[in-house]
Amino acid sequence: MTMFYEFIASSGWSSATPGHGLMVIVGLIMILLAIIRRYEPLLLVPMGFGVILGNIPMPGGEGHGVYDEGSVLYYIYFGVKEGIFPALIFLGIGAMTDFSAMFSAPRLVLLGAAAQIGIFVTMIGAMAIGFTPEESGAIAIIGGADGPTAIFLSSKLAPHLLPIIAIASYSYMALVPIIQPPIMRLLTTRKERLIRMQSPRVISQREKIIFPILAFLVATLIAPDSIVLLGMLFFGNLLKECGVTERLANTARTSMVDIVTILLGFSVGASTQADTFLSLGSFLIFVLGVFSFCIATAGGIIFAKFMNLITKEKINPLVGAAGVSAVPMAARVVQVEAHREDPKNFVLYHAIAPNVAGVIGSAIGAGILWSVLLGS
Amino acid sequence: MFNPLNISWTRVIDGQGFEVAFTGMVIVFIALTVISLCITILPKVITILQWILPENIQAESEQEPADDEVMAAVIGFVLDDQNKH
Repeated sequence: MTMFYEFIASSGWSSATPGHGLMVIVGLIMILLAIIRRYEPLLLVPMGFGVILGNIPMPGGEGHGVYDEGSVLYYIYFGVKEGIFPALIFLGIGAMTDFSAMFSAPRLVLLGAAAQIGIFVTMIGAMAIGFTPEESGAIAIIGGADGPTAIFLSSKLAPHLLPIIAIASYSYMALVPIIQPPIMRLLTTRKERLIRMQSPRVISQREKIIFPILAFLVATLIAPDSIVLLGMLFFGNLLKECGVTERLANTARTSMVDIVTILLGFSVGASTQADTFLSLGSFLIFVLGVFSFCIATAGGIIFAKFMNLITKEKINPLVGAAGVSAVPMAARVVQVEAHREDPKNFVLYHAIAPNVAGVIGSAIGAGILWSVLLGS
Repeated sequence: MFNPLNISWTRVIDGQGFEVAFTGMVIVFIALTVISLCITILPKVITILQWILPENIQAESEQEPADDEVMAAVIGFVLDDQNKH
């Protein structure tokens, strides 16, 4: 009988708390959303399972979690907390991105810049309600709508908030088709939504080869702290476009990014603990995250309307909403909204320009926040 | 400790929030504007630097289509032909 009681005491049930149970339910919800509703399944399935795994109660202080030095999960999580996995994902993103939409209409790049206002306005809001400057910077980057960038910056500025920021970022990226359309309809008139844009020009291969090198030099000389993310992004793009490293580019955008996605999603999920996730602070981070997204969407649209006041060739303001760097979902949402008004209006290609510019802009924004706020 | 009902702009000023936000936006805009300008002048620069960057770099679209694409084109033609008849 003593042995039986000892067995019970050594099982997970003995140290289970309601918090553990709630987090397991959260993990199950994430998996269900991914499988049934197809919300970002490549991320939510690993993350959801990671949440479940990370919240199995351990008896007597035993530790096999991401925070327990020496455990397997600890070494996998190393890639997240040191910013390695986000950088590798950016390499893969670069290898699958086509920047030619930017070449056709360079002025649309500015819409990607305007959308980054969501980051900085949210940073102010987070400071105002009591988050530290570092925490505010990490929370604000959710508005960049870029998961790897959010994970990278929060691993540098506020590692204790990394799990909640990562889950918020990827959740809102999946909810772009729900969050953006009401804002797009509110800020644009029917006449504006019907604007048709000029057909794109043919882009030479030489331009595609030179661009990643040139853009990398320009961006990192202006904002050196973005060198890691932008370096990997443009390196991946050069592998894709130069035509002589197709094997490397193929590996970067397929096997490598899949492996890193599995490890990143799983370990971020496993790092999500009940005591940090189920708190007022986490709720506020979710609220600030959606606020950041909305401001970013509005910023891109309003800037497009402003550009229409000063340029002859009109921009469909819906395209401004694609300045959030949720590639390519935001561009798809823009196309759906334009199509709703005029089935023959194809703005998808134009929307990709601010969409990919937003990736560059959010990486630059992250570099600025990292250099200014770290240690403040 | 944070309190959403107790918004304090003093915290923002102490943390230089406004300065960081303004400077950050300006830098992002400058960087992307410069990139945009570079993209605009790039075709002209390439024309001038023809001797370093010859035209015979094979474009993706000029490459031989993959067998899958050829097969898809054939199947599409056959189906279209069948639909017509």
